[in-house]
Amino acid sequence: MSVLSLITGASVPVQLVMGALLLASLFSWYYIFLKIFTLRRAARQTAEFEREFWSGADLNALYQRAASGRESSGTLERIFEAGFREFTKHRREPGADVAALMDSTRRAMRATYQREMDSLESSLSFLASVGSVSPYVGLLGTVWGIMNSFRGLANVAQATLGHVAPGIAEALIATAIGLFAAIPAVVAYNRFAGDVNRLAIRFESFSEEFSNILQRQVR
Amino acid sequence: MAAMALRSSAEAWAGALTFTVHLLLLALLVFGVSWQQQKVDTAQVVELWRDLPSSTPPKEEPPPPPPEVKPVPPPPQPKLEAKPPPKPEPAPKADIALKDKLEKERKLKEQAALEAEKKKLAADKQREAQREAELEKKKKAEADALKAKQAADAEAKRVAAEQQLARDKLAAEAAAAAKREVDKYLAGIQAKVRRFVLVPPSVQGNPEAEVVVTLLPGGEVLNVRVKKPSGNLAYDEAVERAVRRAQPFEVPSGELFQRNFREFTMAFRPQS
Repeated sequence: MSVLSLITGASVPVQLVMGALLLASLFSWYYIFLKIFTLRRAARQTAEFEREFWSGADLNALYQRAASGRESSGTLERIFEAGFREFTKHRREPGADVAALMDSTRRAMRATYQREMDSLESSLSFLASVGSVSPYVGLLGTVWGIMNSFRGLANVAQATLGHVAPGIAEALIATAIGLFAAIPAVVAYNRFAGDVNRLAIRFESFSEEFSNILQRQVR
Repeated sequence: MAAMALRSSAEAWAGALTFTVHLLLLALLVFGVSWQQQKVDTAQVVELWRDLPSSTPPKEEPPPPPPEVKPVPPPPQPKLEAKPPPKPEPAPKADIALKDKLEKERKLKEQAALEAEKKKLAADKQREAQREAELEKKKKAEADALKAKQAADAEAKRVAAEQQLARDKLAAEAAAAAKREVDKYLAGIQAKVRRFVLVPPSVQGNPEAEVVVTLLPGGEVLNVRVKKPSGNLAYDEAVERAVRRAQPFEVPSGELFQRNFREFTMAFRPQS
């Protein structure tokens, strides 16, 4: 009695549940790996850009590079680019108010920041729902399987453990698969949420500091 | 462009790693569980073999050939014909002259002849007696031989009967073992089918339905038909359906299957 025979021997609803859970598990692992790569890259690029920025490079040169290589630039670079573009555009207009200038710069940076955060946080909600729902789905499969197993038991003259055990084992496989899907998803969700939060703090503090620098340039 | 390439390569990596993780999980599940199961399996095997007689009947030794009793050739029939008694010599013609002498001589001769005759007769008698004795002896030997032969025959018959008995016993034992085996499989099949029988609520009492099941060697059901209906059509159909749903059955292989499970009858009652 191997696990495979347990799976193939299960009733159709239980098999459907198992299939759904397998899909959920596949997708959640896919997103987990994708997110690992994305977040690692974002952290690396952020660190690189911060180092470059604070090493006192020319803002114009940085802007030129960020604008030309927009596709390959990191999140922080894009925030910087959006803010700086808005700032230079505004400054060229005659009779610009400093407060309005800084406001619009900050707004531009804010908008980019939000867009970037959205893409970083994407599919985290999927992981969260897999983590919280798949145990229940697995449990549903198990309950269904056990129900069937007991219903079959009603027609047996003398019920031995041998009659019940295979059905229950079949049913419990569903819970096992649900937990297999849920545990990594929950762990990954917690980890990624923390990582994204830390990145967000870095972005926000950078944009504050950058607006200060720009404000100093106006005067 | 570069970002797109980067992104798609990341996706490919993520996909590959996802599959690796799932294969690993599956392997863990399958091998982990089957490893656990193996112990139970071996235990079951031991029990099975201890409890059950071997399915093949013990090899019967070819019965030793019955001791050959050489037919005693019948002793040759002793020749009973006795020699005809010698013809009395014709009296010689007496010469008158020598009548007396001749007479004497004749008498003497006659006497001698008579004596000889007597002697001969006695010898004959003796020979006869001897022959008789021989015959007697021969007859006795014959009778002895016959008796011996009869004894040998009886012995052979007894041995043969014993062997036959032993063979019968062996055969009976083998048959009993086979029957036990068959009964075990039948009980297993019946129990399995019973698990699938959903007794319709319309059944009243405890009617019996007999079905004839035709199986394929793998234990799959080729055909089911109701032989003796229970009187409740729904129950008959439920039994029939159950037989189909319960397949494949565990059946023996080879001769035992061919004889007992090709087509067999099972009876079911709603409550048993």
